[in-house]
Amino acid sequence: MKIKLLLLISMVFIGFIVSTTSNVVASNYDIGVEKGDSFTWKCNICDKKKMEDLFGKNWDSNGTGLFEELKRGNQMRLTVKETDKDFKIYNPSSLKNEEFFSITFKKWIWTNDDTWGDYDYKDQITHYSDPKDYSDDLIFPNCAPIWLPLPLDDYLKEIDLYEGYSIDTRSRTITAISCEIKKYDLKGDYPTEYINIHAIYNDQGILESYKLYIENHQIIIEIVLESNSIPPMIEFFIPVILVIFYLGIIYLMYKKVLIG
Amino acid sequence: MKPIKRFKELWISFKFFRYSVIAHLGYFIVTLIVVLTILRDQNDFIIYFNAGGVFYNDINNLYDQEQYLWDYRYLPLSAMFFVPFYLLGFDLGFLIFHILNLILNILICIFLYKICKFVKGEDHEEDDKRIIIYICIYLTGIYQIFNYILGQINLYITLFILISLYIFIKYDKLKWQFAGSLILGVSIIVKPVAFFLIPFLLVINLDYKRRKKLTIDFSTSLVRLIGVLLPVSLNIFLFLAYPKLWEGFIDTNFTGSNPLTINFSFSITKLILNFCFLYNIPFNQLYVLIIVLSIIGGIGFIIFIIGKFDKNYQIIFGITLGMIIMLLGYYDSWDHHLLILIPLLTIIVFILPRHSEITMKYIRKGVLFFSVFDLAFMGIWFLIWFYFPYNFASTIFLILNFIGITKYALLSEKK
Repeated sequence: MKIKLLLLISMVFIGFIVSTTSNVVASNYDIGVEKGDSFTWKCNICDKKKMEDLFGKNWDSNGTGLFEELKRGNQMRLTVKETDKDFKIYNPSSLKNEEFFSITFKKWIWTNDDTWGDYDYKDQITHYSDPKDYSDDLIFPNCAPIWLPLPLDDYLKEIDLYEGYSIDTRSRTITAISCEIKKYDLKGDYPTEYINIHAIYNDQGILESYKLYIENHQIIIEIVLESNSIPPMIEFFIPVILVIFYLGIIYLMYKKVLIG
Repeated sequence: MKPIKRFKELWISFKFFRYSVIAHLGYFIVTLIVVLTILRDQNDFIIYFNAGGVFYNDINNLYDQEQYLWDYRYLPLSAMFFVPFYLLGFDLGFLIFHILNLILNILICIFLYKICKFVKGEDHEEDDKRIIIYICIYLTGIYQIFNYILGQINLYITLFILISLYIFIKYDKLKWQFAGSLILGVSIIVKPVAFFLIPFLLVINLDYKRRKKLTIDFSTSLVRLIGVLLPVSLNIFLFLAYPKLWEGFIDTNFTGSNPLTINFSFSITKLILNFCFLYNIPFNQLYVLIIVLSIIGGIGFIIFIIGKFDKNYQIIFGITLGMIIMLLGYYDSWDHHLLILIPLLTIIVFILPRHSEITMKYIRKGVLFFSVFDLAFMGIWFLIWFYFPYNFASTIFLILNFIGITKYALLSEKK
């Protein structure tokens, strides 16, 4: 009798949930950075000759400036000056004001000068407030922008991206963009051979790691966001410490917890 | 009526069983709520649901990954299975799918009980309390939550494997061997994880110590191979009718970009790829896959051939080895795949002597780790992936299980 009652209650409960859940889950996009936030990237790998072969002589002067004077071992810094969630630009072809998310920042282009000094220039990155406003078959400059609105995966899913893109979402793994570009698929018959870009983003929607590969995952460019909190010397030992810690936990589990 | 009567008896007399059933029903209800509310856009059922829709509306685009949240990698016929869920709509489709998963779990428990009872050695306890405890561990394992919450289809594979094993060990006649392998073939259609089990269907033994003689039960082996390949080969018709499907299938599974993505899969192949990714070592993922699979698969198959197994139970060890090889070798080995392995390990516990050192040191520790702690290491991975993108705790326990079976196979005195 008790079991029957339990089953009946479960069925009613399940029915209630199914009937009350909506088909639509609203997505409110947001800017994950704030005024004053500062980000520094380091270039660990940059094969300039190969980049020239792939994209021609002007490879470092296009896009969002991510590659501007890029050199192995150099650093680039952005400091957010202003964020705007209701930035509007008049579009003469649609005769409408289009809405954007925008961040204005001070930029220090790739340099090996540790003192940084004065910034090189001010710049702005914008993204449509509604990702559906992007044109079809979109390829971002450098395939992966420095910053994206949050939640990043929902935002990207709404864009009709170029066929080579695949987006990993945070529930299964980390938030990352992969973009495969076939030979001669870009304007000007570039790249001259197959390339694959893999970009990882942090919780603020900021580019955390950018890797550009050619065939067989031979890396041509690697750019990483530097952590402010961990000094580089300690960062080097983190994997070693984690291996020891990890193996220690497993050993303890094997010996003490999972008792035969 | 017998299982219901037994259920009532256990419910009344066995507290651990009662708690396990309640916990499992708790998993079932909580995951249903979570999927239909918070995770309705972030689960694997959406992929199956969409695959059913694409199969129904425009089969040529089945491997066009634009259609899915994550890549659809299975054989084309598998998508046919999801068409009814698509036609029911997402909410009702998922509810039916979820209830079916619960029913599958009940059937798995029944078959697991029957097989364990059948294979149980004489030195084991006469009553079935220990079998029930293992079934309770299976029911309460954390991977169940993961499987339910993702809307995964591993339980179909587990049930099909258990049914075929039950047939294989209980009925010798060729027609039954054919039936058993046919069911296994259907499981490969649903999800190709069982693909690596095929070589272990052979009835083959090499007595390398004494006579160096290779014996093959040719007729049984052939019947089993035909049985398992027959359903799988039906996909060929689809590949021939729609050539775009073949291209998409190969690209998605073997040459596409997906395996590049860093993730918490615990297969050795993926650990190597993550290492190469982190330290910028050039690699070809297909070569890594082939090398790892050749090494582990090769060792596993040799052990299967030269091992001294009870003839009736060789298939159980073979299928378990095949499953471990798949989990260690293929790119994507997720926690919910362990749902397929745990029942197989449970059966082995009851084949081995009651106080077997191998059970104590290897198999049981593996079962407990996978059931309780495995998912915690996935959580740890998310905390430390940027510096240490390796989820290898389960890999270690899979290797321990592999070693345990190897020891059992090679030891002349079973202990």
